[in-house]
Amino acid sequence: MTDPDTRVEMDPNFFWQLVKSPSDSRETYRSVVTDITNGHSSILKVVESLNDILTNQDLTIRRGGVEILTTILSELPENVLNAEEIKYFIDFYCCLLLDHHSFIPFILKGLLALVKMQQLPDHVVSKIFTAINLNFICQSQPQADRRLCYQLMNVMMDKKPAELQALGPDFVCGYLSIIDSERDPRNLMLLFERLPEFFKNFPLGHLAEDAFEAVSCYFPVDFRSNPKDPRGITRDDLSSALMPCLTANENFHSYVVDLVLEKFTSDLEIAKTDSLILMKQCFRDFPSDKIAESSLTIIPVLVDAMKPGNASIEIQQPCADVVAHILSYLYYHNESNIGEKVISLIYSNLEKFISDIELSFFLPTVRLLAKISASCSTTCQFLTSRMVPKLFSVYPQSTSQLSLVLECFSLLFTPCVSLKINCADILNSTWEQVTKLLENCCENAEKKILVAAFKVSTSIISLLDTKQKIIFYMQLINRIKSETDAEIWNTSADCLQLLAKTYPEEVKNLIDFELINYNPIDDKERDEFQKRLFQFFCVLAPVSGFPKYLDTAVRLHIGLQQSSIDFTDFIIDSIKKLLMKEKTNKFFLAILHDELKLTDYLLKWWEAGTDILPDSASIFDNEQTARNLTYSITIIIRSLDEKSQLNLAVDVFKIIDYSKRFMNSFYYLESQGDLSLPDLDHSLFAILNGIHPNVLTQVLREDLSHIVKYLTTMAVYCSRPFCCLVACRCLATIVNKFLEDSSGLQPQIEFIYVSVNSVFSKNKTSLTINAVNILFHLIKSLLYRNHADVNRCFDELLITLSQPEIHETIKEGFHELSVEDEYFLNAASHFRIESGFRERLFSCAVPKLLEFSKTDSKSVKHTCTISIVYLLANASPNIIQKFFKEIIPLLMSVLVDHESAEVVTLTLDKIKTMLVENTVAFEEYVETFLSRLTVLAREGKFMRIRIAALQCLLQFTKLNPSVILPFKSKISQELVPCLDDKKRLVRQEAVKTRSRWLVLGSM
Amino acid sequence: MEILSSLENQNPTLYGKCCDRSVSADDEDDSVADLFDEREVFDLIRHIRDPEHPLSLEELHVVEVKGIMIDNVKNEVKVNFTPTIPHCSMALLIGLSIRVQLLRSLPARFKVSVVVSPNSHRSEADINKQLADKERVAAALENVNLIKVINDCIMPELTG
Repeated sequence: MTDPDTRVEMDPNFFWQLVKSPSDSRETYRSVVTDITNGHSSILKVVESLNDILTNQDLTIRRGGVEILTTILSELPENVLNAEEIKYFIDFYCCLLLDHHSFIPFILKGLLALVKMQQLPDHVVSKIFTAINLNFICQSQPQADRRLCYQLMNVMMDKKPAELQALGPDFVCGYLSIIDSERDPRNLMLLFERLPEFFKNFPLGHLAEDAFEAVSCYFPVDFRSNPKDPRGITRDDLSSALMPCLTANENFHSYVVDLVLEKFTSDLEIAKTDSLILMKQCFRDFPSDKIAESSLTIIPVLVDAMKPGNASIEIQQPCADVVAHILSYLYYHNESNIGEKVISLIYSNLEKFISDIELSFFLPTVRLLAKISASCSTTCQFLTSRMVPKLFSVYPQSTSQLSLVLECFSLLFTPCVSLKINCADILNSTWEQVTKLLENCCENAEKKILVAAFKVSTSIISLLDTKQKIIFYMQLINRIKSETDAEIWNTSADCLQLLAKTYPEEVKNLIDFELINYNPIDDKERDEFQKRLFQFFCVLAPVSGFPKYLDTAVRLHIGLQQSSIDFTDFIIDSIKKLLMKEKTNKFFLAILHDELKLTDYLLKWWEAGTDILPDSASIFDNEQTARNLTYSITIIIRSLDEKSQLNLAVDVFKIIDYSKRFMNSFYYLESQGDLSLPDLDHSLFAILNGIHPNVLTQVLREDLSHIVKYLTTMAVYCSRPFCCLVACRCLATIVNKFLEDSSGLQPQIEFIYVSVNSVFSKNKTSLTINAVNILFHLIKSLLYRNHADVNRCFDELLITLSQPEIHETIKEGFHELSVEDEYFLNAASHFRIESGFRERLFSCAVPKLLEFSKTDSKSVKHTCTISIVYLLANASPNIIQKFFKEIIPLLMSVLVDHESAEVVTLTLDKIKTMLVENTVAFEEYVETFLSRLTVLAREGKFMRIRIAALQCLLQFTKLNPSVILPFKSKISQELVPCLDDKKRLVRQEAVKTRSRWLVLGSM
Repeated sequence: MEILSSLENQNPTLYGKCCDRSVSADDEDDSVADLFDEREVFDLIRHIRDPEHPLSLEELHVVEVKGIMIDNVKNEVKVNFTPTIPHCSMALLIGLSIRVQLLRSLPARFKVSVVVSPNSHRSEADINKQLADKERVAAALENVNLIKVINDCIMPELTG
């Protein structure tokens, strides 16, 4: 409510002031509007107060008055003015159109506000329309005014359609002349949204063609959107808004057909594509009695485009789509006579292209026809009944052709399956030929044929009768039992997996009766079969209802009593592969954890196995198996919600006393000098690796100090390198995921530094290597979470460069730092990863390494160079650019005298990538690089070095011609020996590179 | 371009392309020397573009593996090519393109001969004679316009 003290008095002086200083008038308008709304004032008083201003001789003052009135009217609620007042203002504004042209924006705004009023009287919209039509040339106005005019017309059509319809052709003609030739995309979008309704609801009569032309002139839309405005209007927006306008009125049908046929013959790809979309729209919007006959005109044009060589594949496929759409429309609207003519026309035109299987357009034509076949049942029957016998008439002679025919079967029968067409009825004896051929192919000795036949038979299984089905099932099952070829076995398993989704009971019966009961007599054969069966259960496991087979097999084969090491390793490896494949399938992982309790089982088995299993040590001695089991458990755990993770972690942690463990390991160390990580701690890593930081912090908060001490001791003193690695990874996980930095984590990081430094002071190489590994893990972990301690960590680490025996470990460490681990320190396992860690790594490590590389020690220099090469491999171009000048001499030194093929190849690959990203930077060093690269291309010890050098030389041709042309003849000549390299792959690369150098400057 | 203004064979028959050569274990073994074979020579010339159409010589069956002979002992390579029509006026240009590509791509120890397949062209003898004449070939390659057309055919990816 307005404060009575500040209420505006309606006196002429008040508005005079407003006219003179309009800038601060916004609040004042609100007050006036509020007064009118509350009844403290009235619109009459406003008009009376404005009287002198609105009738003033001075144009500027008069315009100011109109602006004030318009703004007040626009701000007024829609229910305030009565019919008489509205009519009065409309009359006023209509007369005002005859006044100066600069009033137009205010007039339009005022009229727009008035027509929105609830009590809009009759006969006023026709008055407005007539006034606008007579006194206002819309297309001569600025964009914003044109937009206001369209908005006004839209509101009038919404509120008083009958009144405007009563104006008949006058309104249609007037409206079309208002919108005709609009060219602003924003206004066009507004018009295109409204026009379909206008064309539908207003009788166009003899003006239909004019109306169509007013919009068809925009087809196909040729518009380039502003690349700087990603949210701006695009060509596709305009095009899809225009399409409904062209098909809005059924009288447009003949014009549209002419238009699409004309535009489709254009060379412009976009005209063809838009014409195809419009054709589809026609056969959706127009009634069948209007458009059905036109299909006989449209189809020949489309068929012509589908003929090989007549149009690009990007157009042919959409053409087939449109043909399929038209056929589907015709049969849906009972226009079967026309439909038959259309399909006959298509087939007779394309038949000759499937008469010779050797020709390159055979398969593309079958693909197009198969797409058309999928349109409806009648078309599918027509085409299948003709094309399948035709395929048999061009019966294949070679293996590659037979696989082509099988692919055609798949294409042709897939629509029959989806449309539920009985092929036996329509193909009669040919269907028997088909099934016989497929049956034979499923036994074919040629792998390619066999695999293709399995896939086809699976896709058409619903078309087979019971006997044929059983034969096929048995063919698959026999392969599962005894096939030794991996591709055939995998295809058989995949086919059965697909069938299990559609026919679960049939597949379950097959498993129960044919596989579970199968028991080969020979021991070796039985073992092999058990492995295949387990793998098969892994393939089936993600299908609903089938995980139970996997679970039973796991419990049967890796139970505590009977288990062979080899078989246990195999099963754990298979489980890991399955989980890796299904790592994003939360539903499946939840079934394994919640229903089948697989995680609990594996953890308990792992824990108890050490004590009970006679061969346990051997099982867990296999690092790969331990790693597989770790990651299998991690994959399941990380998919759980935080509550489930917490329950599981608490269960495991409550039984471990890390304080006691630390003390035990300490005493053990004192007495033996050797430690071994119990296997439970592998499972500790599996859990830490999978849980969320919140859960980790909650679980470890109380015992953090002991666990870090224990793990640090293990990481340094364990006799088995794998145990040290697991301990390092556990430490890195804790450092990365623990959330309470200052209070909880920082003291532990300090403890790790102290421990590492005390190890360094002992000068015992094996222990120093372990300590260096701890630092590398710590660095990676801190880098990922963007912790400030990284620099200090690097400083601690690089001190060890003074010990040559550590150099290999340092090189490996930098290699590990630069690569991502699939299972560890990744976002999928809830690690804290701040963006830009590669840049942080590079900018932290490279300056330090460059500094150390300035030393006289060749070994230190070498270690620093190799470390930088590893870091370069995954660094971004921007960050490399920063150190470009310092790095280039190092890279050259690698190319000149490094004996490691891996390092040289890595360097060459990086140079190649750097050349792709930024050629200019190399211009300064062209001569040096070219001479070294040509030597490597000719004399490189390994072919991958020679190939990489040639690829770099190829990239050099993309440098500025003025820089490289002077070297053209020299390089072309020096590459001649590469053409006679003893390895073909090098020769191929040499031909490519030398040809490019030869044509340099002449293309 | 004048040369492409009217098509002699407006509707050539198209054939499929063969698959890329698979890399065998021997190919990747540094210690094994790979001899030149017919397929390697075919791979050097299969991508050459026909001067009339945006199609490769392989797609038009102008060159085929069976039309290539190689002798690693005598250092000889012979390539037969088959013009799409017997009166093809582009046959000499095609032959020249094949020859230039092989001169650029094969070691100098090989003696290369490029000939029209027997009975596939009306001017077979003339074309073979011109293609065998080293001096004429060298002179043709000095012609700036001609070498540009040949480069267009040999390396279509550079000229679009």
